[in-house]
Amino acid sequence: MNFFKTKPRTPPDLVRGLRDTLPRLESTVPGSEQRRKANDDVAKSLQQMKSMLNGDGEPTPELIAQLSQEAYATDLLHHILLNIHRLDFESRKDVVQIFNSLLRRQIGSRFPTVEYLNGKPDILFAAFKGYENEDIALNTGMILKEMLRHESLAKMLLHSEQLYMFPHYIETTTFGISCDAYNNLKETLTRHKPMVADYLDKNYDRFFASYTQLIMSSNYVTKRQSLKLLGEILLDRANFSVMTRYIANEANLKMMMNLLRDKSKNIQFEAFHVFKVFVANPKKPPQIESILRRNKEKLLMFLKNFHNDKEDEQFADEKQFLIAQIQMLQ
Amino acid sequence: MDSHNVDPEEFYAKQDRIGKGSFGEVYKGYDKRTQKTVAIKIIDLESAEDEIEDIQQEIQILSQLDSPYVTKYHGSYLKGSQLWIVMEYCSGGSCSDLMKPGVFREEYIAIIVRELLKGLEYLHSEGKLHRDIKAANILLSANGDVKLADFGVSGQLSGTLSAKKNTFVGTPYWMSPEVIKQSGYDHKADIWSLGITAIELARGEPPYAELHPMKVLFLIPKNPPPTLEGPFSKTFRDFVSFCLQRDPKDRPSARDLLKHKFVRMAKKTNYLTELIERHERWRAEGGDRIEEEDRRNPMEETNSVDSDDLWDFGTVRHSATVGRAKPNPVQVSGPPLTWENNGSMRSDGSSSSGRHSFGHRARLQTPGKGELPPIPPPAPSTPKAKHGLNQGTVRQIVNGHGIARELSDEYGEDYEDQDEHEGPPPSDDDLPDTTMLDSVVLPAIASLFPRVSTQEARVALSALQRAFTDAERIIPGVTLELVNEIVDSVEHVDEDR
Repeated sequence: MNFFKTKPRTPPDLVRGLRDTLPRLESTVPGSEQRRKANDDVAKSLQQMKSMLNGDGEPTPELIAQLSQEAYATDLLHHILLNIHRLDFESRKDVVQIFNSLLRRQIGSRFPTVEYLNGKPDILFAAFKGYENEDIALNTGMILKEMLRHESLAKMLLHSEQLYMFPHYIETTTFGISCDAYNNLKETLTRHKPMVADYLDKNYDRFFASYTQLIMSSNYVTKRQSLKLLGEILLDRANFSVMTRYIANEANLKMMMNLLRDKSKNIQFEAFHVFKVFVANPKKPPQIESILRRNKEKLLMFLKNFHNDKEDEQFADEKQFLIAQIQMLQ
Repeated sequence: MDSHNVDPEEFYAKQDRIGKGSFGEVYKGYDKRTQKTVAIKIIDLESAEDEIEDIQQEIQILSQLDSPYVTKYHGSYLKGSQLWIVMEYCSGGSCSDLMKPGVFREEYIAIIVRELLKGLEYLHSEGKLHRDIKAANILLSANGDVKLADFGVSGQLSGTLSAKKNTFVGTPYWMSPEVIKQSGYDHKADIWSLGITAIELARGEPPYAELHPMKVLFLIPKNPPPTLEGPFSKTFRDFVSFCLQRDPKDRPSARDLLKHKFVRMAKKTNYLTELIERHERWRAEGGDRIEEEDRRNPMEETNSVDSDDLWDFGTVRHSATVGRAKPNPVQVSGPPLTWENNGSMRSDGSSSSGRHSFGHRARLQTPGKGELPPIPPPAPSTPKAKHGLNQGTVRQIVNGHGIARELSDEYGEDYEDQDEHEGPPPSDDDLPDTTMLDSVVLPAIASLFPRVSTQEARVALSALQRAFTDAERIIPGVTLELVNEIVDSVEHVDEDR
């Protein structure tokens, strides 16, 4: 025991104290003395919670369990997220750490916080909605990222209507936030492969209609990154049936052939990695084969001069393979 | 789709260019809403070598830092493929700029070091490392506040804080032994670099500055830690030796070092404005003429077939002006002006061993003790800019991670053995045989691929790589020996000049 410090508050006191102070952030006037006091109190409680969860001092699993239980029981996490924009800079960072510590908390193979959040979809969607406020978007983005590591939570977002807000968030925010939203979209679409494959299969039309908007974005980074991700998705074995559908579609092929000629070299290169799947398909549907055949000479000429300065050996091999495939078209 | 992306020029006006690096350029500018001056780094993502994800990760880290000792991040915006990163502007300039009229007196250094320690204390408490502490990355505000800059942007950026790659990060002369050996490192690596920076501030350049950076990569892990030589107080020398201990565990933390007498006695930061004023006077008297000259023809310099440019580590390209500074130009302008230390800081003896013993250097090294630094004559600017380049930040991606790491560890053990036996200085044979091949030569050849345009040329380069690999297999250690031979002959050439 540490006799020289004032006795720390018990976890339930701490959580309840914080839970009671949060409404004062809403009710007080920004800039007022009361607001400042409320902010100070919240900041202190958050720091204590953070260090307790980090195991600073004398952590015991019981203390952490008590703290978690109380946090679940008082709906603390949701209220923190609803108020995070009212917190000061360091407190926002503390919130992220608290969420992440709680999310990683494990008892055997169980993740109690994840189980709790499974029953409280509002919390995940509150974190997601953080993209609408640039002051906190990177903080809530980090919380969301930690949530998405867990399949049940990723599934909740994937199967929600809100999923289709991603393009909006990616397109309308400044670079740092846009990239963060893109990363979380990528996380949602790549981490839990069988689940995602199943979703994409069942929601193919809606999903790709929305995704194509990202590829056709006028934003350089959105376009380049979403093409890259498309390549990754299609080439993932888990998504075989999705890929088969994608590469049977003429419109998709045309889009990629146009992107091969984008003014950006990087976009051309990413488009190549999608285009190659159409060509490499041993069972090309007639409509695909016909487009390729019609453009045979042009494609051969184009590919011969395509990114010859790349040092990437695999790319050179793949390009040779495509050239051979196209040459064989009769 | 609603694609009303924010055009940075709605908010910020770009003015003079204040720096340039391979990642792009740094401009002075101002916020149109508040009229506040800002620094704007502009990176063309289309030509940047780094992945967008890496750049974004750095921005994420920057956005979570808020300290008076760290340059503040204001936001980042995309304009076409150009990324604008808006940062706090520090009008005082970087310490390497401020050293152009001459090195700093000990009392100034104590202030700077104290502030750096506070910055490191903050960073380390946030679980972050800087990994590239050096004079060029230390900025001063108008009233003398000291700020750590460059958590990297691009070039160094992706390396700087993302640990996922097996990379050399930092700048060779300032790198700690454990960083070079890639045997795992922590915040104590910053403490080492701080010690080297203290020497740099006191003497004008870091230890081994006269040597080829690649050679330095081998000397730092091999030799005993450098010490601060010269007419400095015992407290200062003692402080430096605390920072420069081979075993990172022996180095004190930033918090502990703040208790050291050297910094406890230091004056207030506004005292540092004298350094800014000194630099302004120096410029007013034409001190930067040489620099201008360098700026005019940097291309010829770097393109000319010069032995120093024989290798491209892929990384030296990432050099230069991180921050807003030009690569440490103390050497560029010839004289580490002896204004305040009366000519003793860098003895001619030490420079004679290296490639700095050019005729004009001696000529310029006239002690100019007095209120104003002597105006450097428009020195022949010829051989120098490239050297500045060598001091740029290196970011060396090592191929075949596991292997390289294992070997580096062996290398470390070899070293320890040598140390204990107090035998003859370890020879290069003790180095892991294939490190030079894997981490220097093969990547160097690889970096040539993008610059050739024919299939034939690429085949030739691949053949060259294979030839090296074969030779190494048959004659283990041959690559290292070859490189050493070349490095040695490079030095001879320079000395002959």
